[in-house]
Amino acid sequence: MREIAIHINPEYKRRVMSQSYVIVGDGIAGASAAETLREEEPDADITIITDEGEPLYNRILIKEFAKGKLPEAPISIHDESWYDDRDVDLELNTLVTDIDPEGHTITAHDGTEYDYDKLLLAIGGTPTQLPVENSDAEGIHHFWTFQDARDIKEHIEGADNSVVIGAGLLGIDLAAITAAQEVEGKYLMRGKAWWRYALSEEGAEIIHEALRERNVEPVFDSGVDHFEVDDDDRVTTAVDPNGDRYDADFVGIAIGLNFNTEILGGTDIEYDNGIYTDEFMRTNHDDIFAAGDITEFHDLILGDRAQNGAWGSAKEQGTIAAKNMVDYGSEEFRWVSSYSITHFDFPFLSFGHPTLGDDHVEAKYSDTEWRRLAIKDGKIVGGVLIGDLSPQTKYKKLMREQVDVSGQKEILVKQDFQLDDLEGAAAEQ
Amino acid sequence: MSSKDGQSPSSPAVTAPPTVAPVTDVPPGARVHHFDELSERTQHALATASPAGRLDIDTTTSRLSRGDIVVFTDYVRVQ
Repeated sequence: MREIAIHINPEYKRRVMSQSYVIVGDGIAGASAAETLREEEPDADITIITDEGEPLYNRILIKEFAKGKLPEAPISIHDESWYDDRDVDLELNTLVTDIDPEGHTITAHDGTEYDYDKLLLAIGGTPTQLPVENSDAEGIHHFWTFQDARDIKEHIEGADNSVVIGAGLLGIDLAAITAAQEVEGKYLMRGKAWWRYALSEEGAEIIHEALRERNVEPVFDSGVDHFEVDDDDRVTTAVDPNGDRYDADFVGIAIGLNFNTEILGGTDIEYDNGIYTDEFMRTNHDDIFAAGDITEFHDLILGDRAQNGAWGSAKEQGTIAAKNMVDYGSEEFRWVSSYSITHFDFPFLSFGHPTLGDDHVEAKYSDTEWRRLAIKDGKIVGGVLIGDLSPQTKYKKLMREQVDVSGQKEILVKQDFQLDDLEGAAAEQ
Repeated sequence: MSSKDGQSPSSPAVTAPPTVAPVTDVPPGARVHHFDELSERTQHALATASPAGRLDIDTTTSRLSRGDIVVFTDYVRVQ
C-alpha cells in the first residue's frame, strides 16, 4: 500500500481549530471589531473586556443627554442580549492591568487571566487632569463617559453659574451644556480664539458670538491658576493667571485626553502618545492589534502617523482591525474622518487633520459662513467648514485622492467651488 | 450593528420620498443618530434638506429609516 504524507500548515490548523479573540474596550472600535469578527469567524471564541459598568453606548450623544434634550434610553446602543445573541463574552467592570505578549495572556485587576490567539487593544483615553490647586474639588467635572454625563446633568440643573476650561472640541460641548441648561457661564481660554490651532480668530469669532448669544462669555488670554473652595471642599471660584476671579458652582474641564498606555509599560509594544500600528491596525506584535483613538496609525493619505478620535474613524478602525486579525493584509485603513458640532443654528464640520499642514487658505462669506483648508506639500490634509457643509464631499475627494492643488488654493475657497474649477491634472481626478 | 444603531428595521411600505421635520421632544423609544454617524452622502442630503423638506436618500440603503431622529443643528425626524 502506498502511503500519502499530508502536511498541514500550522497556521491553517490554528485557524480551523477556532481562534480565541480578546478585545479590550467596548467603545465603538471594540464593539465593531467584535461584530466583524463574529461575521468572519462564526466559531471563534470572542471576549470583550471593559472597565466600564455598562455595554456600548453612543458617546457622541451623551452631550445631548447632559443638555437635557435626550432621555437615557436612545443613548444605549447594545444591551447585554446583543452579546449573548452573538455568543460574545462581555466582562464589565474589569480593568486589564497586564499584558504578556509572549505568553499570549492578559491579566485583569482581580488576577483573572485571559488567553488569546489575537488581541485587540481599543482602550481609549482618560480625561487629562488640570494640575492646579483644588482641581479635584466637588463640583469640578470632566466629560468623557456616560456616567460623567449623568453627573454633569444632575449638577448643572441646580447650578447658578459656571466656568468651562478647554478651548477645543470637548470643551465646547461643556459650554453648550451650560448654555442649554440656561446657566450663565464663563469660558476661559488660554489664547485669543476657540480651537486656535484649526481656526483663525475671524473663523472662531463666529463660534464666540454664538456662545455669547447663549449667555456663555468667552474670556481670552485666561485659563486657571487655581480654584477656591468652601468649607465642604466645594468649588466656589476659578482664579485665572491674571488674578481675575470667576464665581462658579459648576466647573467643566476638557483639556485633552491621556491615552491609556500605562498597561503597555512592561511590554515591548511600541507606543508614544498612542499605540503605533500599521495601516492594517497591527502593532509591532503579529498577534496584537489596536483600534480607536488609542492608535497612532500609519495614515496612508497623510503619509505619516496620525491619531483620530472621531466616531466614524474608530468604528472603521475596529472593522478593519478585525478583518486583519482574521486575515492579515486583507484590508487597509484609508479614511478621511470628520467631526461636527451641532450646538448652534449653523452647522460646523471639521475633517481630516485641520490642525496640520504647512499652508492654509480661508474665506469668510457671511456672519455664519466660513471655510479654512489645511494644505501640506500642496495637498489638502484637512479643513473646517462653518455654515455651509455642501463642499465637504468635494474637499474630501481631493484629500482622499491626494490631488495636488498647488497654486490653486484661492480657487478652492470660491463660495460655489466645483471640482471642474481646478486646472490641469487636478481637475481630471 | 444591532437594530438599535444599525441598518433599518422593517418599515411600512411607503413610496413617497422621505422628508425631515423638526421635533422638540424625543420619546425614550426613539432611534436617535448623531449627524456624525451618517455617511457622507446622507450628511449632504440632510444638510441641504434641513430644517424641513425632502430628504434625498434611499432608505433601503441608508442607515436612516422613517421615524428616526437625527441630531443636527435641530433635532429632525425622518418621515
